[in-house]
Amino acid sequence: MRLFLLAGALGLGLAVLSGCHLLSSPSPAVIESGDREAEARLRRALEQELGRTPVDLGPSDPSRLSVITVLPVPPGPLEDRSLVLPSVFRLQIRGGICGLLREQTGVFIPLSDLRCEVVPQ
Amino acid sequence: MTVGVSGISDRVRSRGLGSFVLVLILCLAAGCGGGGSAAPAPVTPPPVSGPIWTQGVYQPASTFKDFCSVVRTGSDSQGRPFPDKAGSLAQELFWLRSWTNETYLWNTEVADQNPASFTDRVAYFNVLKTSATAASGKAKDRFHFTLSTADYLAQVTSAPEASYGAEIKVFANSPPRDVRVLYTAASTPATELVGGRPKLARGARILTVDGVDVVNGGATQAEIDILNRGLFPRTAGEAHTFTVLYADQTQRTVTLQSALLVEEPLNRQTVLTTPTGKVGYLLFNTFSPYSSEKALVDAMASLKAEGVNDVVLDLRYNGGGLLAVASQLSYMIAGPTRTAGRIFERLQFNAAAGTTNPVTGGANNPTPFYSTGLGFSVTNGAAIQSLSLPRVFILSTASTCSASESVINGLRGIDVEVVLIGGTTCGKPYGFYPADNCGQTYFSIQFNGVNQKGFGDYPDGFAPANASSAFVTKIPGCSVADDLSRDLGDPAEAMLAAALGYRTTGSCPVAPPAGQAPARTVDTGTPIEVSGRSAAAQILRTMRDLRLPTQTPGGS
Repeated sequence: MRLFLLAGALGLGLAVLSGCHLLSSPSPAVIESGDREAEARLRRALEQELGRTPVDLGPSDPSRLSVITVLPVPPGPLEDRSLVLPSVFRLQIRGGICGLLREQTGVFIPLSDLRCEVVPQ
Repeated sequence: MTVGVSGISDRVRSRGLGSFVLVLILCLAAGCGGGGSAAPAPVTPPPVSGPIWTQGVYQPASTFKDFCSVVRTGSDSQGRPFPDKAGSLAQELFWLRSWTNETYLWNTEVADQNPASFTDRVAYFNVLKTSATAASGKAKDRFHFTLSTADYLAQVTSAPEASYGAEIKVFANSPPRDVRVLYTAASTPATELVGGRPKLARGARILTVDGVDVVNGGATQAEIDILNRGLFPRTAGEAHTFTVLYADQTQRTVTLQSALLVEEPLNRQTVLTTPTGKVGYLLFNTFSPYSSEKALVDAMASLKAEGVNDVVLDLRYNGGGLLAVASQLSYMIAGPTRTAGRIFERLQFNAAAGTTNPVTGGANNPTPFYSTGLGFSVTNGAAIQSLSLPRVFILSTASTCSASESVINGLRGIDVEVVLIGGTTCGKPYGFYPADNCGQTYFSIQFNGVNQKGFGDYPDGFAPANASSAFVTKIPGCSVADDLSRDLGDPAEAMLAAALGYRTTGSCPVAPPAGQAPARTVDTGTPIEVSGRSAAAQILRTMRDLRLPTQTPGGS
């Protein structure tokens, strides 16, 4: 019986630790497939972050991949050595909150009204 | 010595206090606050004095940024609110002066001229550059120009343009004119079949447009307008009739209808089987559109699957574009081992910038050899294939420019053998960040790209080793003229044939192959204006024809 209780306590401890870990570590996420409103909200958040509208997304499907790229303003025909790069964002769940990590700055943008799901590993 | 922002602020505060005292005195004199009904006399503020020029003394450009003589309101086409504040022409000119001093690559070679001597911002910008010449005698800075921001932003879209799907080059723009097709794109009006052959094809010479003689006509402006409208249609759906002399000397009349088209960056791709293995051939015409990333990644994967052991990269009409895609292309040629821990290109700014990028204010980080997708049109982080070749053949002309030259220089920086077949490249190791101030966008050379070995000094271009021209940067290869008598990708086309021959024998063709480009090239005289295109598009075409230095709006 004591052994059973000990094992139970140990299991509980591990579960708590594991839970803490899940809460504190960001998990790659995607938005729910087919949720057009979620896609629109995501786009609005990206526009707000980048200060321009509309934004064009690169080859990203936020319902399938956690990485999202926003295309830069296209170079003009005179820009024959253009340094532009896409802005890279990662959908993550941190502490139960879905949000976007802007890779270039390390800033996490919480999107509390967005429902995400963890990407299966 | 510089005067800081606080100096200006103090002056503004001081002026404000003075105004307040003046208003107070006037109010008292007028008896305001005494219950009288008469309106106070209008107060004329003291005249606003502009910044003071002291030779060699520069205030930070930020002091003057966005203080405009004419203030824009609202937002630009990207939805960004205009940052303009009420200011003066003097502040715009002082911004140009300080910005040039802070960011121009050759800032120490710019004569400091008093802005008060100028009444126009473009005229002032035009003198803010070096007047030095390169070893060849050409102007050191041939790339200094400006456009209205509205015109610039109108161009920074990937919107399709009206076109036939044919790249038309004016080899001689005064009588006898010589206008020919350099290449066509598949599935476009140009390649529609009539009588079993495409309407336009490489090397075809345009003899008439809508009844006007291209070669010797154009005596009146009305005729010139007809030529321009036909050669460079403004809108989709325009039908124009051409008499065409094809490369095989047959002649016929065809009617083409313009369509809205986006140029495909990778025009053609083929694998040539030789006794010593398969050779991949890619005709890659621009690094600019975001689709160029996927086009190259897919092409390289295909060449790898085919098992090629050499690649001929045809950049003869490639004027550059995205440097990051140039880096990816170079990685896909060289492979992971040769590129590991090495840089593709490092930016060198003016000496005062030190290790900082004076434009962004951030660290001056080099461009690596990108080994994954970047997110333009290939998923960010996705693996990309590489051929891991020790050498590459690059076909070049004077239109091979900028980011295309970076591929040559970047690969040479990591000891990949670059064999150059064709003509001297344009010689533009430089770049800029377009800068808007008060509705005008300025393009001023700010950096020189250098490779892993620190080399980036090729202002007169790269040339094959047997080129006769002096001052150029010679690298292994053969001088061969563009061969308009053969299709691109045809192993008998002179430049490709020379590459294949060099690959086998290590030597160049003895005599120039027959049937090459017209002897006359772009000249002076009554030109066929490329008026069907926007100003910026005209500049691009001009740049490809290497007439940029004297023909850019606002340039010098």
